[in-house]
Amino acid sequence: MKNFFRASPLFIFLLFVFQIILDSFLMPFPRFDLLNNYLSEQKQIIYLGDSVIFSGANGDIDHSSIASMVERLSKEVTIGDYSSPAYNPWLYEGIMEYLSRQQYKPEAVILPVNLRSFSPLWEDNPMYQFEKERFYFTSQVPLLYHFYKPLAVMRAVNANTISWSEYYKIPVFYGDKGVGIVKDFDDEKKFASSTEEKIREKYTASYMFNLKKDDRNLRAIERTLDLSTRAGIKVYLYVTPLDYVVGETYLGGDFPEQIQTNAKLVCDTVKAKGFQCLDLSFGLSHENFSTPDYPVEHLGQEGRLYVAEQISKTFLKK
Amino acid sequence: MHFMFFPQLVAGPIERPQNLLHQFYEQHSFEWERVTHGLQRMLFGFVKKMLIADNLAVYVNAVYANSHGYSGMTIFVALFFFAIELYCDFSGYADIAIGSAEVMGFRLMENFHFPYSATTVTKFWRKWHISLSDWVRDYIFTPIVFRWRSFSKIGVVGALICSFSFVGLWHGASWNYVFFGLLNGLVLSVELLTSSIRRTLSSFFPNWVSEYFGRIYTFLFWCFSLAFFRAGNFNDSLFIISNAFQGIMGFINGAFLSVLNRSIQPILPSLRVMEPLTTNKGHGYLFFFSVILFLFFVMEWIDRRWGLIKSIGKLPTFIRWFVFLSFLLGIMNFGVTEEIPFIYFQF
Repeated sequence: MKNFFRASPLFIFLLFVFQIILDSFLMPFPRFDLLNNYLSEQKQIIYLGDSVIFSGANGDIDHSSIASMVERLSKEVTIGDYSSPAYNPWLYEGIMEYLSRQQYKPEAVILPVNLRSFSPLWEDNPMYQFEKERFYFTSQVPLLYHFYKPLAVMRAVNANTISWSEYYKIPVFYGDKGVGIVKDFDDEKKFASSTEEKIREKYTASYMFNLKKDDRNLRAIERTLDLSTRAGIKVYLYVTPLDYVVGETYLGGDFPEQIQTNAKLVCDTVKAKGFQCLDLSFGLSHENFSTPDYPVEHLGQEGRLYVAEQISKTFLKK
Repeated sequence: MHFMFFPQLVAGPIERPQNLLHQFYEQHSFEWERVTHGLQRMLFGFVKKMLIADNLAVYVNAVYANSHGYSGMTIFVALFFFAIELYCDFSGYADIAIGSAEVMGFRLMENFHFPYSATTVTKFWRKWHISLSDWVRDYIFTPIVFRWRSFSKIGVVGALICSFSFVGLWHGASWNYVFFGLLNGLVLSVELLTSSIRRTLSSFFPNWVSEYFGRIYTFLFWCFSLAFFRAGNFNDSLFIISNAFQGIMGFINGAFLSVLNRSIQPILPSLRVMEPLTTNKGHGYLFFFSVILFLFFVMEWIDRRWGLIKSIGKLPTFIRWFVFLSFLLGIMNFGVTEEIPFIYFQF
């Protein structure tokens, strides 16, 4: 009995220590360190965003990311590129919360908003939920982030906001009209080759929804702006360009109309919080995009330079 | 009190009142040995459920949710995984139930006795869900056999069919379960009627050959019969069984060609079985599941040979703690984050 009370605390202590070691070595989160490095280097601007920021096109000579181009154009500022594939506004909120708690706060955050990130294929995709990353940024207890997986296994934190089976059943809209479920539109095998029908379907699911005010990611943008106001961090928000030419070719006039409506709602929401919003959704034509038939907003070097110039001109010009 | 005794309330073991009731009147004092033994039993139950069964369930659920979308070998792997999942899920629960009762000073009956080591389906059912098998034997099989004793072996066959139809129905009011029960009853009947022929045949071979052949036959039969247990409907079950057969044949064919051509290429398509979880080749998943299955077979082997808890108890404290910490850290870091209820909670 005496042994039990002597051994138990030691056993629990060892369990905690080994968990921290195991998590650090087996499941590290190097991007957490990357952001901390930017803060310790006192970068003036943190550039958030998804793969659009750094992806290029075949034939590019200049492979720099948009963030690097902005830094090059605006020589006085230092920029930390914190973009990563499929990052979304829900995660940006967590990052902003983290930044607002730090002793050194960047002067500004550049926040690109990809209209496709509101589509069910992205917003609800189980692969793009970033619960772990958000937990890292929002947990305020030291070392607690090393216990994310155990807490998730014990259901103490919700690690599965959306399961695959739930995801596949989510409705897909064309405007306000339901046109099927995600399973009909998100099938790798089905979209292996691009036919006219498949391109139309993919563009429909990716852009043709009627964005609502209460959308999870839109609400997250509002909260991000509130957090930044409280922390005294400026937010330079812009809507990323998309291939409206292909959209219009396959979906007619409905496509630009829907994009305009959704982009306007994003910008109105941002402006209502007292921030400037740069809408670049119709800024670039078809030849600037890297994938001709697939709704991905990756840009060639000219396109990336255009976005960098617009940001520099609108937000960073003294 | 008997029905409300929480460790066995939800999914058994189906304890007889005469085994349990008198224990409520006994004095239960704190015994260090008993409590630690019970806690260790619970830990192994959690390992079986949270580390092995739940991880396999992710794969199995993905395949069964869209069985028509996968190739034969993938379906066969799902059948194999489900057999391991079901055992670890259910026996894991039994370990947790028996262990938690033991911590409080109660003894519950064992519900499993290494069923996958059985050499016939008849022996398998003496080792699988023992409390249900015993109950069916005492309250259905024996009375029917007694009543039909004048029909000799035919009477026993009739009793087996009736008993196993009940076992099927006990799992759920669906034709799938009835067929699952009937199939098991039929195979038991065939085993009964061919026992002397099989004995003669096996005398021509060394013991270990007939033993391993028996184990493989029993396990494969169980894997395939579980298609009726797990699939949503009868048609899906038949589709899964026929495609799994094709998968095995494709694998054997690929292996044969690989040996013949001295090239790994012909067998490669059969090895791409991780597509339900990932769009790439899934080497990581393949490695992970191999580790999980290795852990399962090692645990079972040690448990059957020496007793898992007993053999760990003999280790030096330092190594014993290392084993317990490894199990706990394994559950904490490789457990599944989505909710996967115990399979037998539904029955």
